[in-house]
Amino acid sequence: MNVEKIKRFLLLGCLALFFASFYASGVYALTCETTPGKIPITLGYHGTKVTIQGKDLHAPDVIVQIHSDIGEEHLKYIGKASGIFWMKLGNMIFENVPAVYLVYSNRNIHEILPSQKCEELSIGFDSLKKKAKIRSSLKDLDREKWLAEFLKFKQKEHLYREQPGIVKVDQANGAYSVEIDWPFEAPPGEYFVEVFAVQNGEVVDKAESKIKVERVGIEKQLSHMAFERPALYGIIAIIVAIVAGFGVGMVFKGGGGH
Amino acid sequence: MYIYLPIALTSVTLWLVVGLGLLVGLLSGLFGVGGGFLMTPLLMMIGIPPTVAAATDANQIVAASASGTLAHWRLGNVDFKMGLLLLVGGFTGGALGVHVIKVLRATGGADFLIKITYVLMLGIVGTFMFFESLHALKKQKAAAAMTEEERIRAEKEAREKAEAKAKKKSFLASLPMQIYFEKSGVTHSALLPVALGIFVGVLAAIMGVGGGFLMVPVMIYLLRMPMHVVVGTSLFQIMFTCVEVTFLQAYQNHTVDIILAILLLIGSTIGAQIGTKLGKKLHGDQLKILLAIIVLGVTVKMILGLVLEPSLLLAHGGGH
Repeated sequence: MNVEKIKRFLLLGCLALFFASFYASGVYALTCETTPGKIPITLGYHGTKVTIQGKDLHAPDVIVQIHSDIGEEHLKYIGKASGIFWMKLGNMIFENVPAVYLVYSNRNIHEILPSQKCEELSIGFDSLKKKAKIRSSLKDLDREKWLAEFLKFKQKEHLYREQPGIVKVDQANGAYSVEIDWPFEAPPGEYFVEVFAVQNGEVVDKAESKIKVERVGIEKQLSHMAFERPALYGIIAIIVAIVAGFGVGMVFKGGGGH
Repeated sequence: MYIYLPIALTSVTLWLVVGLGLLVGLLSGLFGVGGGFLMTPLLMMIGIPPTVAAATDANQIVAASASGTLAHWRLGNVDFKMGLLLLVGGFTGGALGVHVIKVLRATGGADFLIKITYVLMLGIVGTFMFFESLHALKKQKAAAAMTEEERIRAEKEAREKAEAKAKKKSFLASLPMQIYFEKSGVTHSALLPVALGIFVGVLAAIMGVGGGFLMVPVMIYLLRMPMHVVVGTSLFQIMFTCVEVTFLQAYQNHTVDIILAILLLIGSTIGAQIGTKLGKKLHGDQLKILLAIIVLGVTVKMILGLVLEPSLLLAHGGGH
């Protein structure tokens, strides 16, 4: 009898371990679907609408964050030269930051998750500020001031965004959805979408997806030529300009201008 | 209607960019300036990265100046002999200036020098042209109101002044390789336009512009060329300078955006033709005073930009 009990406990333990490892390996119940998954940059591209939605939600709150690879941002800092003139004075490199960072939620993220949890999971501007590092030639660097300036700069470029209240949560049907304006300023590349289901200040489920932004058609060909065959690209640019200049000159003459 | 720019990596409104091209092309045809000092800041204002704005601007100036040169050549307003000598100097000066800026960047403080040179040169050129043209316009008005006796006396005084000035110029007259420039109706040593070309080339390279707004006053006040020939010759010289800059920027820095350049040149080539025709209807001094006002306006804007605290204390590299 005791042996049977031990066997049963062992079996339950194995099952628990199996589900726990399943959870830890990133296979969750919560789903995440991005539409479109690929954003083509065409000649008339001006950003697009992207819908992120999912099912099997068993929590009242949802945070959706989208980011590019974590890396460095090389900028110039502006200060007063000779005590009179405002101008670019030197380099300022922000490390451990993404080029693009967009965060959406159904409520203010500070009301959903405690700041410590946000920091652990790298969610939100405050967590980003804590993890970022600054390298600069500037003496007596005020870290807080320059990180605030960095966030202001990126938000003005539409590359950083923290927007609470726009994720729609349908708890009855266990679904969520958010429609976002994808900024045309975001460069081509791969973006990571992370969805966190939150209950009582804890992340109870997580889903991931990707968005790929790529040039197509003439945009792709021109960009390829500019970087791979720059001499030919330069000559074509000059010929186009001269032909256009002389061509318009001819048209004006033909129109009996003189 | 939006257009995505493959090198600038941004989206712009089609008509806004064509409109900017038209405006700057108009100035190009009217005054013989490339308009780089105006176009680059305008492009930056609509969100084009500074390095792409400067390089693409040079590309569109090729089109505007080609269009303008053709129009002025048909009118017989291009002094090719003078233009070629200025070009030789300009190319040499440009290479020298690029080297100077490289050394300054390595030692630091290059940005400060560029800004100050920009403001000083624009301020000096604009102020000088403004007052000179104002004086000339006043003189014309006074001459129209003079009696015959007063006019004879004034002409005599002017002749005496010109003779005294000619005596002062004896140093320039003593230089070797004196050449008569038929189109401009002036005689100078070939060394003079080459030297002035070098001077403008160095400044243009430091400031990152084609140098038209510097070359035009040099031709008017130092080479004493007539205004109608100055505009055509300046455009001819600018066209070649910008061909060189476009190629180097495309080859070394990959910063020429051909789509942006095409949109700008659609506007600028048409604007240059309109400007040339409009220029024919305006008096030389009226043209000079208009250019002076534009140059002074840009100077004031730059000074304000230097003195007032910007809303953002971070910026991308490149540009001015």
